[in-house]
Amino acid sequence: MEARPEDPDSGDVRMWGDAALADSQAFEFVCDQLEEKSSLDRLAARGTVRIALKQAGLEARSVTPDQMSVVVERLLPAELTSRGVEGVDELCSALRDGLGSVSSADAAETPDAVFQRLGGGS
Amino acid sequence: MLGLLALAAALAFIVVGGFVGIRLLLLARRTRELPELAVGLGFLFVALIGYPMGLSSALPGVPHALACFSFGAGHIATAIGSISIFVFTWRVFRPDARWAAALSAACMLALVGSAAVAVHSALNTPVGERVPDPALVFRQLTVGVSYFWTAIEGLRWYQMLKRRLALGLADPMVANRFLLWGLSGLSAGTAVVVSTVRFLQGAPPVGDPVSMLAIGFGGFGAAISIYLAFVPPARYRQLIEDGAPAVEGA
Repeated sequence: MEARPEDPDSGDVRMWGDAALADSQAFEFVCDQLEEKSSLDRLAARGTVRIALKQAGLEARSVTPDQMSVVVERLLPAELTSRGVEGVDELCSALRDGLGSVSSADAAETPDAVFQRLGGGS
Repeated sequence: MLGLLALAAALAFIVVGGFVGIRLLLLARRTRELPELAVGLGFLFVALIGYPMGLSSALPGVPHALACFSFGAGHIATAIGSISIFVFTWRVFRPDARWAAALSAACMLALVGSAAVAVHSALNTPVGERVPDPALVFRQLTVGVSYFWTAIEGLRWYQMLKRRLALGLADPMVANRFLLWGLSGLSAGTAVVVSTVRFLQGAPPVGDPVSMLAIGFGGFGAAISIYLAFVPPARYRQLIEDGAPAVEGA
């Protein structure tokens, strides 16, 4: 899965001076599949997934395949339905199956991982 | 009464900050990771060294030479500790943001500069003749920035983890740790800013009721938050875990 950090359609909101970062492989996978298998175009697919991620308190650049799988199961169906996408259940099931083959090895350390460690065992 | 409140809060901040700082440095020795080293140094130098030395330099009756040493050394320690907090906030929350790197670098330079001015002042100005100088005020405001910035980042992550909790994607203790981290930053930052403003208004460094109230509540708030965040007692853990929201759709 090739990341497109400089993608003008990404819709990512960054503060001034933030370096352009590649989104995670899990995010790219779901967006590409949605663009390919639904009526959504690239911009709409990425925007829809970002909205679902925001509702879950997750970020496109650090979401793992496991986290994305939960978002696809719990939040994405409602977002897709509200945009008139057909066959949402089958589509989301296929997305979850596909996420099982996406690597999460490139994930950088996130603040929640740091704060987990600082608790010394919690 | 206010004096006792401020004194007890100062002691609580020193003891808890020092204890947690040493604990985090021991953790850093095992993990070899930057975040625990930075925040451990921050607590150690600000709470256990800089704060008590700065306080003791302003107490009446302290011998002149000791007061001068405490004043200069306290500034240096506070600068080192605050620089560590900036490193922690930048590297943990905004490692790729150029604005965060620029803000951290500017504040680190300001802290080094104000520490140098403080040492010069300690060597050349009698204790009783020190007035609210721009370097001291600038140092205090920079320290305030370090607390408020890290508080904002902590509270932002708390909001994110609250949403994850509903989906079963977060640990309730970690979410609570972000909240407590934010509250400790707000408490300490408010105490620093209020006491600095009062100092600018001509209030004495020791004995001003408004400053003592701010230091009292800010010190206790920070100490309690830090303790619960990094050394949570078993009953507190149970309380947080029992109070976590049920996972939606589970």
